[in-house]
Amino acid sequence: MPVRIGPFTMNFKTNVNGLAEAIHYLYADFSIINECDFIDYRVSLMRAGGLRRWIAPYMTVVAEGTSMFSKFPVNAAIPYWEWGLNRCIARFAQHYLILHAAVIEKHGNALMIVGSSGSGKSTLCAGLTFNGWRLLSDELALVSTEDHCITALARPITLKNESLKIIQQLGSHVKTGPVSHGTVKGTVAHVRPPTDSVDRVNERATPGWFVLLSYQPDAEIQLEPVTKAQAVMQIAHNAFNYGTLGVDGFKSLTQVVDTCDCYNLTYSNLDEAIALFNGDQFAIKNNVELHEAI
Amino acid sequence: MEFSDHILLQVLRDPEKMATLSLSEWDALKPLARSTLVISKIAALAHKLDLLDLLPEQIVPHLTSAHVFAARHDRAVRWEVNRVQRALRDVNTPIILLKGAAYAISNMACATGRVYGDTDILVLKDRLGEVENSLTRHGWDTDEDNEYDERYYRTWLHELPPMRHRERGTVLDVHHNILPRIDKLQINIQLLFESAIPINGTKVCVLSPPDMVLHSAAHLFRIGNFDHGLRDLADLDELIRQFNNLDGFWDSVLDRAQQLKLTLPWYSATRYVEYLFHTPIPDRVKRTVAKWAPLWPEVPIIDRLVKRAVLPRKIDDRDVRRQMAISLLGHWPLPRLKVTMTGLFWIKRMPWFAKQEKT
Repeated sequence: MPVRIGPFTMNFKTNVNGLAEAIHYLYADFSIINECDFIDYRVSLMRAGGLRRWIAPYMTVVAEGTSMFSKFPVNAAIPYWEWGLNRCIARFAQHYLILHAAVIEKHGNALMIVGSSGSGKSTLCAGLTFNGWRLLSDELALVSTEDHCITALARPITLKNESLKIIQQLGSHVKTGPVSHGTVKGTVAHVRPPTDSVDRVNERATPGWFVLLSYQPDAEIQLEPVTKAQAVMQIAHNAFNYGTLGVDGFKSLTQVVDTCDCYNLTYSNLDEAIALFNGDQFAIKNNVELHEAI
Repeated sequence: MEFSDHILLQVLRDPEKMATLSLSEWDALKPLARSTLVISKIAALAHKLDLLDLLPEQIVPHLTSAHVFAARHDRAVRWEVNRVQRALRDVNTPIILLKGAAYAISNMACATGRVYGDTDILVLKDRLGEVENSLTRHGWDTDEDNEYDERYYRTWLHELPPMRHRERGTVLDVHHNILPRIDKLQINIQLLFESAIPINGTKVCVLSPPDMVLHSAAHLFRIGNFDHGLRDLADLDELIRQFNNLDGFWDSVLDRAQQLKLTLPWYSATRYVEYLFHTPIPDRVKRTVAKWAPLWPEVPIIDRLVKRAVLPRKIDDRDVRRQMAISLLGHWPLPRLKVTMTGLFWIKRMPWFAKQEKT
């Protein structure tokens, strides 16, 4: 069935037991389109048929006739579904500059959290999403190469291992989908995006801050400004298609970083980090020219 | 409906037709074009003919994305050739670029909007050791970790095991012939070196026009992968159309095909490009080529397989019959009997039997 996800109309298809239910649950607030002439991305997650149903069964994610992930074990359908969608967008939406970053928004300004896998990016993103910020994406920052605003997807947030418990402790309004154990990235589950974030998915956000994140157990929370040059290097390294866009990628990224305040953040405790981002330093960003540009 | 009336083939033959397509026709066309790797070709044609403003707005971002992607491929293949040239500057061999890299470097029409896989080069066989050493010193590593695979490549194939660049991750295939030793057709590769054309006076060369089309045909119909069969046939169509203007092109291809014993692949190539792309082929050429047809049952069987393989029938799901056709075409023609009697041949195809012997 066609579903509208941010700027994309997607068609989902699966023959795997439980996945359709999980998608229904996680994407409950998204609108299903009944009549639709054009689908941007057709994504399917299928279990191999024939003898493979019984002998060494496996599954494959195919987007637009192109394999995104193949031959992964049957216990990881939901994580691979989400990773498959990420890969589909990162591969086929080259008309955006796509950064590997979690994006949340307050008062129209986007906070982009950049970090490698295991840096606590999704945890912080989920923590802030349920504490006053609006979710745009936990993985993909879609930056317009024309006006540099960020387009929202508001898809579920992927949480791994310990961070799952930490986020569930935030309260009963946090709704998590089925948990997959023993995937390549350990235990994985997804958090349903808040209804408000899904309803406002068409509101784009102006780039406000970049936070280059690292998680260190038992470290004191530490926020330090970094130079724009350092920020550009690190963000480019974490981008999906910075190189693909060539000169346009460089221009867009440097212009976006120029309009943002950039920080390094080391943290170990989520509550401290939430308090920091809800404090004065990350209140309204008064960048007048940018507001006029919208 | 005739298979060759398929909407995607119509658009490739006559790009102006894009402006007349409805949104739902685009909806059917886009995933097919994407999975057969020709979407960036369609995007390039739309840009070139200035059609973007006439198309439904929903399709434009897809074409823009494909255009960006192809531009990246174009930059990458040129840089790769530049790096290979540098790495091999002290090795005394011409470096003949094959397929995509050759089309890009010699700015052929078919390079517009093309996406590239591995970079393929052809070097003299007696310089192969030096070439491999130089490439290893300049950052390329042999990808194959399996000893049997590596021996199979070195004994029976026409290329070294693929070499991957440690930093860029790009893959380079170093050939010393254009057909594997397991193939019944064996050609005198020296002839290709003799007529290769140097680029800007360097030792980087491309094949002469007749050799270029014959190689493209031999590659697809002897060892090709029909996963991107449509893209490869589109290349052939555009190469032929471009060389059509050269004096004596057709006669030299016919002579060369006989000299290199590549008459069979040339028969197939002309048959399918004419069928799919209506490539202009002179009647006298068709009469000569018709004599090169294989024995009766092969033609209708290959016809069916090629039709199944070039375009998927399903867009949401795996097209099982297409996969089957691709796999059959990949195993046809059968290898030489002599090769099938070696252990290495079977270990390559059934590696699980050799696992315990692995070091």
